[in-house]
Amino acid sequence: MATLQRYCLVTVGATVGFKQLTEQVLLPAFWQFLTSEGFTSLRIQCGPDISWATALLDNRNADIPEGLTVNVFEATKNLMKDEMLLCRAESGVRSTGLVISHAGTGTILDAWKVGLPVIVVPNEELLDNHQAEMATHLASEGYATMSTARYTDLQGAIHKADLLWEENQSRLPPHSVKSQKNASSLRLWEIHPQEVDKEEDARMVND
Amino acid sequence: MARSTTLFGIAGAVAIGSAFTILSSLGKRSLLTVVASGIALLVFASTRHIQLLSRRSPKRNARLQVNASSQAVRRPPMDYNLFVLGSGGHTKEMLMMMDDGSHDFTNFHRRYLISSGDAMSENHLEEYEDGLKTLCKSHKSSPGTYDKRIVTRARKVHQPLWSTPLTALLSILDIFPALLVPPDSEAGKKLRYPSRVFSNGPATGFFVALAIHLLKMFYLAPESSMKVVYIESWARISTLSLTGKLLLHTGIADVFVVQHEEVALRYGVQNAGEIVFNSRRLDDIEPSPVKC
Repeated sequence: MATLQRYCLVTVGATVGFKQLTEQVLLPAFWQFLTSEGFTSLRIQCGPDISWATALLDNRNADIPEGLTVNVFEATKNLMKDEMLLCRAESGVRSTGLVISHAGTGTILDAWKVGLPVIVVPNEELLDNHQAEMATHLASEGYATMSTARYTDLQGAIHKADLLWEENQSRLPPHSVKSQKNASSLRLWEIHPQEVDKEEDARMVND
Repeated sequence: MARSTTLFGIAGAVAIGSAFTILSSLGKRSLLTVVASGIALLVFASTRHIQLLSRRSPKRNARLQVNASSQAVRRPPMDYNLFVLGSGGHTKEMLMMMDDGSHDFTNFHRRYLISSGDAMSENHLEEYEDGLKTLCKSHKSSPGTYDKRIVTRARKVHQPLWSTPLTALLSILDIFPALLVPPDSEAGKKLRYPSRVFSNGPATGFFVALAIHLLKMFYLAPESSMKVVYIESWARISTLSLTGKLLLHTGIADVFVVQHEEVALRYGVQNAGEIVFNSRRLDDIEPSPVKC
């Protein structure tokens, strides 16, 4: 039987780019590591840094390990449909892949929806934004693994993400996740305003 | 509340001031009439403003319409809701909150407000409606009806703050008909106005709430209609967005909830939990082949 495909998607958002991260995932040392982890494809969405990244990749073409393909692209219309579905496991074809993402909420929500392991890398150069805060929150809730852009840290994070993924699979079977995790959150369709009169009644009863 | 009343005071004073200069040539008597009616209008407006605010629950918490005995959701036999969609991120969150597996939308109309030039939101929305149709079909229930209204965008991302009032004015001119013209569906024709208006952070959301407030102030729409339900974006963990702050300080939303404990505690508002994660996942929609 042929070996299973395994996709790694790196995404930095469409508008600003994230050169530090793109640079690290374009290092041959990182590629070697991915190959040893059974990845067969690395796809990098790099936004405005596309021409720089393309040139860099062309230079290093000879260093790409056997069994791995590396692609860079600027953006796609629907990242979830076009790219994330490739990271989804399919019996006999692909094993569960991985998303390495800037801490943009859109990407994270999409990855959660598809059900993929995620590594979030906050872009520390962006001042006055909430990426680090979001990354910390996701890590503490067990939704994602947090890492810096350094490839050595990314390697550690990939191991951690695998462990977290397995743990979540056994601890939270797919269908009970919703009810367990969100027992406390309201449902949009059930939200109605309180009426003042009723509230006053309730208060009087309490008194 | 005091702050917004002051704002009204200032706006009124400015209006009267400019009326003075324009009409000073018309003689003393007509001038007095203008001043008197200006003051009367001001008194009326601020009284109505305070009246409307005081009739809302002071904490703007949500009441859950759940049947205590059966835990089933009780919903009116006919309903019409309006959803303010913002840029890509806000839209995605809103649709995820809606897509919680609910599948009884008989005689239910959804109207979407989309900002001009926002093709992304429109695509996501069509995807959501398609998914809902499939879901309802599998449950042999009805997905109800929906329509879309395009409004001029109140504030583009990174647009300078000083020019916002101009675009906002254009936006509000589109908002009024979207609120007042009933949809061409059974529920829309019967109900005339949406019962609830949902928003989660785009600037347009504030202007929609403001338009509704004005309509109610001048008795152009019943107070019991168009309840503004504001759910702060899931992305706001520790601080409110600008729209959130405006709605909180003016007090013109009927329900105000956030999705994280930290921001709830900071502003003393209700934490509704991470509503976005109520969404169905791909595995719920189309179960994947065996995981490897």
